[in-house]
Amino acid sequence: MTLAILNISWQTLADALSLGGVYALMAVGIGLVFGVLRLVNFAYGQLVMAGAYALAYSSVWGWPTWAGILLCFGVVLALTLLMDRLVFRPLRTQSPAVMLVATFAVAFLLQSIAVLSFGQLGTIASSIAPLNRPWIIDGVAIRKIAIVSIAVAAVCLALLQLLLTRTSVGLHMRAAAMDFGTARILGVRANRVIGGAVLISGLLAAVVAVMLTVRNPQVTPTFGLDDTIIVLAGVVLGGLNRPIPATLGGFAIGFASGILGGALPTNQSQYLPTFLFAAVILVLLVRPNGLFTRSGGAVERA
Amino acid sequence: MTATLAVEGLSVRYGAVEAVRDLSLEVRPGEIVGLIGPNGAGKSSTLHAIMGAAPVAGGDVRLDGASLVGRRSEDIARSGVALVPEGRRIFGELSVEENLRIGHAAHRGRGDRLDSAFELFPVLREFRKRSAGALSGGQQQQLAIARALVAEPDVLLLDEPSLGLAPRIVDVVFDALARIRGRGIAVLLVEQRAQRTVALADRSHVLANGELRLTLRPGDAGDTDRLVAAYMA
Amino acid sequence: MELAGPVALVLATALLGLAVSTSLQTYFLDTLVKVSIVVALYVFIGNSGVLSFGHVSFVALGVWVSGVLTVPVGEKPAIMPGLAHFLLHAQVGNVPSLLLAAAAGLVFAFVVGLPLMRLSGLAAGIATFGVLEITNNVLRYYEKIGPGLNAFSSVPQTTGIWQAAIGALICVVLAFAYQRSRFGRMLRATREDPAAASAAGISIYRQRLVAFTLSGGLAGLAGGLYVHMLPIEVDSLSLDLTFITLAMLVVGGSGSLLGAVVGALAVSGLDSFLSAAENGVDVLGWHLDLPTGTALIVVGALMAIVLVLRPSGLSGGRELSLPRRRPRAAPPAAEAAG
Repeated sequence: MTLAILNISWQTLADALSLGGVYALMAVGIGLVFGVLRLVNFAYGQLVMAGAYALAYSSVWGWPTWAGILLCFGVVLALTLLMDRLVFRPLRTQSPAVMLVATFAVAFLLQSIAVLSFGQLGTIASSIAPLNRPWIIDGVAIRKIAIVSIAVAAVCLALLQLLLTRTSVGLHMRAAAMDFGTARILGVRANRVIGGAVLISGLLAAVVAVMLTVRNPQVTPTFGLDDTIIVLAGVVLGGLNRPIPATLGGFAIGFASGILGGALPTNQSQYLPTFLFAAVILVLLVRPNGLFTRSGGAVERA
Repeated sequence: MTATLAVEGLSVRYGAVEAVRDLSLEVRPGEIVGLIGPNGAGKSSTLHAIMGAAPVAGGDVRLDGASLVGRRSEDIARSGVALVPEGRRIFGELSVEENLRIGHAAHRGRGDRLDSAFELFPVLREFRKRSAGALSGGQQQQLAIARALVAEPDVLLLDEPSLGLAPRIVDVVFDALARIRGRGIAVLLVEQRAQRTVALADRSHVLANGELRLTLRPGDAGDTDRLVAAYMA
Repeated sequence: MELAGPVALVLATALLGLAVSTSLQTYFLDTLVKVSIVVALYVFIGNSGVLSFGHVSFVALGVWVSGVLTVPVGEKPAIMPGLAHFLLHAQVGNVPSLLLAAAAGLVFAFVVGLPLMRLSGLAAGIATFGVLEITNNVLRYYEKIGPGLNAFSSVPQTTGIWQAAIGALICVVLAFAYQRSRFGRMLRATREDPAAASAAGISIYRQRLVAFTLSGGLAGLAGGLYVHMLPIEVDSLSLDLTFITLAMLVVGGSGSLLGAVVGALAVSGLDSFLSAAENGVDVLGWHLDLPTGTALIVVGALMAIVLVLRPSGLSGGRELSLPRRRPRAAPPAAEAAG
């Protein structure tokens, strides 16, 4: 009944939950790398784009769906490792400003390479599109991908939680995110922790690529760019420092975008970015470490 | 396992500022060697240099003859050197148990030595699952030392463990140090409380302006301040 | 003199631009306007050490103000159907529009800077990025103040080589005057050693606000010049322009005015050449026909490489100084004993 009043259908709700799930995974990917490297990877969206192109082209080449997904994972992981070796590691000792600009540069570089290689128009990943068709439950139509996304996101987040809290690698990662210097003095291996975080963030990017491509099979060089920007806003709002607040921020923003996108008429929703970023700026001024965290963290103030 | 830590002609320089100049000392198994002196004397820098966390401009640091200079902090830790940092630097958002488990990262063998840590500092067993940030200063100091010991190091470095602690807690900490010495570990203790350190340690070196000025024995404990002041003049 | 190098470079570019054919002149115009933008960026980023992703919003504001006020009244309804009533009949001359553009940039930067100058590092980067997104979003859809998604197509194309050069020179001279002034020096002190600067009584916040505001004015001026150069639309006043101007500053070296100018000229020259090559160009007897997008890749790669290998940029953060005849100073005293 409440849903009817707000003019939100079950479809919109499911979509919003699934977008929230996808954004939550992206938030974790960004947050994990930030935790261990203090680096905001502006180029994260390009990882998703690369995965999407892998799916699109495997579809164009007539590969079976599972092969396309494997290719997607392969491409994204390779690209992530390359980014780590060539950009993140050499810049580890530089100031946060230099690192930020560097990832910005990498983002543009990758986008331009995509424009060069694939053209501006876009390629369609038709092989996995079937997941976009609806299931009819009790007379209500919900797209399969919405349910699948929610399930996949939940499983991934649960696995991650287990990894972080029950394994020593996870413990080392959390400690490194809090105080890298002390962690190293205690014997935590810097390279392993960083490599692990990068690897996980790459895996998540690949998962996100699959889910986003199903929702939107047309892959262009700017695929995932808007999503990344929104997720970044969400992560900052939630709290950049710690994985749980970051994830909550990502989920919240995805969910809110989904609901507002479905519920508001277009001429009101077009100013969404303005409200979103005004909120981000406000949070940065008042609670620079996010809405969901306790004070004390890595974001600097004058 | 035991090991001897030897610092030979160590110089530590941060840019143009020389924090430690030509420092030599040795810590043998089952010894406590104190390092005392005023603020800025270079005591912390010495410990950081041993752990590979400060730039060594000259000289050497050797563990049983093998040089530690140039190696990564985590590798030095895994070789059997443990540091209890200034200000404790415990992970406040993790539980006591998790803090101890991280200390295990440098452990060179099998098995979980948490029990031995609880034996030395029983209060930690009580707070095992609690967030480390909820502990008092004294308890956090005990946790920091326990965390370092979990790795079963041969050499234990402590940076001002009594800082900010009530006298009664300082007693607890110094008692624990005596027992640690009894286990055959080589202990290098940096402290501001000169008198107690001189009394406890097998010998105490006085550092000022990065240089070793004076060495005191436990017998000098009563006269510490006078002797130190004489050398500072 | 620190001023001589940048001024000479700008003048050389202008003269060269006058000497080439009209079809190539656009590239020189574009370069000179980019110099203005990059110098504006430098005034803030170079002196404060704080990153800003938002300066293109000041350029955009300059574009909007100057453009809306100089489109001939008769043409306004065509490209700006939603325009507010009082703007429909407003019309100013070319130079006043440029001054208004600068003023708009200045005021907007001041307003934005009031809350934002408390932030540093990553927070400043993200917050200024937010300003960029907000400005872009509003200009896109708020059709009462401009053409929204349409291009500024009927603006008189009054920006010639001389006007662009003068604009660039104004930016250069003002940047120089600022960095030599008390304000500039105080801000640089906060960049070198924030703790010492505060201890000396310098208000980091206030000095950053001064630089931010000035740089906003210069960026607004550049926007005014930009809109009179060719039809601009809101999409070209966003991330792409932010990226390229930032790349120019990084490659040239964000520590000096010379670096800003060198970076703008070098990267713009490279970018222009590659863009021309994308359309097919004849060089020394060879015909180059590069695929679309090559220019951005090269610039992007260059920026990444410079950041990794030589973060201080081509100029190394130094200004150009002519050798002076003066007695050699005594060798510096021995390093402070530890």
